[in-house]
Amino acid sequence: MQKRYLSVAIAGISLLSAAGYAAMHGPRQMDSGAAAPGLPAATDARHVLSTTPRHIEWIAAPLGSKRILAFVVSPERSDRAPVVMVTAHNEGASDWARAVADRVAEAGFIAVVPDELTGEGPSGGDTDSFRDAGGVQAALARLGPQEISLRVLAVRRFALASPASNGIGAQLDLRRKEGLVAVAGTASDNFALSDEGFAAALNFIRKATNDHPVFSAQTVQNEHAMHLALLAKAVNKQGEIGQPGQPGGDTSYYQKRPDLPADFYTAKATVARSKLRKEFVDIPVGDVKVHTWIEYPAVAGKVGTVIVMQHGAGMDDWVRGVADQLAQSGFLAVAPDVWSGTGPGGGGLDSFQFVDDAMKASAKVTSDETMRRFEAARDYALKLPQANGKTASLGFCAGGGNSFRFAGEVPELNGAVVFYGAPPEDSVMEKIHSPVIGFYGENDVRVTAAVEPTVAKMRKLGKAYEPHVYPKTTHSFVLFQEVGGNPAAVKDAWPRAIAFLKKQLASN
Amino acid sequence: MLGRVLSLSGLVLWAAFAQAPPPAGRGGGLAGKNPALPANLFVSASTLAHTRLQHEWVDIPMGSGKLHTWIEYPAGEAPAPMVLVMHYDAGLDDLQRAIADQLATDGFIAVAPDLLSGLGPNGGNFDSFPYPDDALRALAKMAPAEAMRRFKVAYDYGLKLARANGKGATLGCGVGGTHSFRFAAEVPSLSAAVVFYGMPPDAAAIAKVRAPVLGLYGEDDPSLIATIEPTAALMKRLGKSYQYHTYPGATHFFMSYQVEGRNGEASAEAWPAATTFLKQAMK
Repeated sequence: MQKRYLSVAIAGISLLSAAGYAAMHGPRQMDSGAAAPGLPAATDARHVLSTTPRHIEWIAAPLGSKRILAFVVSPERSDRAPVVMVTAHNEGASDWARAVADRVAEAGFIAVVPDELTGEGPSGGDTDSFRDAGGVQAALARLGPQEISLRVLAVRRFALASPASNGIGAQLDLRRKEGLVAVAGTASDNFALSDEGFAAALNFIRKATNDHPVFSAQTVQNEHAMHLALLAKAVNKQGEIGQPGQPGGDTSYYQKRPDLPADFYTAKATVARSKLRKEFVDIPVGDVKVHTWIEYPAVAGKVGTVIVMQHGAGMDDWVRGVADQLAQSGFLAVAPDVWSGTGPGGGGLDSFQFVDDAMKASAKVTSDETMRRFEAARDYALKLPQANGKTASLGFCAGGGNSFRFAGEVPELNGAVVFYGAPPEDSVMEKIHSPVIGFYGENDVRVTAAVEPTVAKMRKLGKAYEPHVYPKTTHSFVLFQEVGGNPAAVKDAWPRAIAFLKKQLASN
Repeated sequence: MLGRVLSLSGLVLWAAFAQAPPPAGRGGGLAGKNPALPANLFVSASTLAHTRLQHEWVDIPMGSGKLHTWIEYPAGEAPAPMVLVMHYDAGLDDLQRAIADQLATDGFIAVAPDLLSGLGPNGGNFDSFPYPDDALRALAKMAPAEAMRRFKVAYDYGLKLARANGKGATLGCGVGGTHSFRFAAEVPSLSAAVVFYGMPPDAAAIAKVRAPVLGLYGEDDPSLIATIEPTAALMKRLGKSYQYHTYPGATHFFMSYQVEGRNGEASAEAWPAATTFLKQAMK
């Protein structure tokens, strides 16, 4: 099965891209009697998903303590739209189901494909993590019809509450085996699984929902509409845990979430309790031995390597928690203590009594030396038996800046993930080969102000740069997940980072 | 000012921030302590270790157990008003004790009880929990009434300290702020309550409040912001004193995360507002 996130990166969903997106797709008129879109073939699914002009995204709907992922395609219309749940019987959120959803959105509906198999795949993966259709069917059978419908309903409820929805819903169930398209909602009927049947099903839904779409690129759903719904959910959830007024939502604040890295409070326990193989190694760089944390994924075969670049407080429990999360997601995670050798007795961060003393001493390590140390860690990792030869960097804060710079200094790098870090100077940016994805908080004025000029520079240089800026979000939003817009930001950004890494580090 | 930020679309807000340089008046930065503000997350441990003020751990008798309490005194010998420091949901960590250190620096006797006293592994205190999130979850289970009981023990003790001038107030952040507001309803002798981003108690409890209350909130903290107007209206109708300030672009826990977003500016404005309020209320 292909990686589900391949298509997400193409969407370029960010505040910054909103204006450009609208400019590219000018207003157009289409009356509801226009020819309905045809049913895509399964073999065309990937092509459909990678070329759709429509806004696509993954959302996560809460269900108890769980989150159910769903793929959403938004219609290009300026009024609120009905929500059509698109399910493919016995297939989970397959590429085909998602491609059909794109056609449903083309017809003017918000098309939502719930992934009933969220977290049910090998190592807690989703539909796309199964090797074959047999695995998907077995997992769906294990889950049972009741749980499946609970999950679909949770996504439906969530989607109906989104700002772009008009509150009216319908379901379109694709039954490949029976050759049927089953429509359910205020009215129900079955149609043949063919272009004609599909068109008739869409017309049926339009009548049943009494829908008169106003097609336009000036979409009612701004680029972050679903995210804002997510934020609202997080706010509503405040107080559910512990006492009223306590923040956290469904982030890793009180309790580490399986699909998010640990936060400031949950990191120490996460690392201590992780069952993955992990070790400190000392990698010589000049006179210094760079104390480096390595975590190995519990998967057979060769995997990509992620160099984890420490934040402003050094390579602490929290950074190791991020490494653990990356290893849980199937990557070799390598986190050097760049401050090695700056401490008492030639130690690193761990040799300081107070972290602020370590921060001050870190000024001794120049930017060039920092790069040398990360390069040494990368060279070391590439020789590990499990390494597939692909490498990426990922860092936060100062480490985010280092990750961006690393892409320029190491042309062989396959990708760079930048969490709220500054771009390098032009002479380094010119040397970048790999794509760069960046995540920023709108309230992180100093760092985020650089995003727009960086977009222009990278575009001029012909480099791939995909920034995401989150509203009401602070600098260290992965470290402090519970405040302001940070819960919604981390829940959107982290899956995107993982999807990017999976794509860039896939074995040849 | 309330709601101004909330009402703007994300894009407009971002553009506004991108064009305007951050205003002056910030926290101490990542590795620095602003002498006029409590230490942030990363400098609290060293701030406590290096304080020159008189300080001690006291185990205050409480029923059959003990309330482990950090006390810090202002410089000099003169009698001083007492501020009960009510820690946040993560427990009496260095960051919360650093608030006590700053209060003592600003002239108050700071009394900071550990609500998890005796509730840790093997009957230990906050510091006996192996991981920070274990303490978080243990505290989340504590009923407000039990927190009140424990704080009253510390309050009574604090008022009888040799240097106490007989006036006492409360100050708390997050759930500590919630406790601070509630304490004002339960303890009629209280002189003042400072609520950093905490919830108000219910209307029946608010009716019993006698002390003036000061609320300090970040505007990017919607669930707390939403409490302000109804609280202000109710307090006014009941003839109570409730002042509040809201800070644009600031989040929940802005005192803890001073380096994040506009929290530094919020801290730099809110802390002096709190100490000025406490000084006036306990003249």
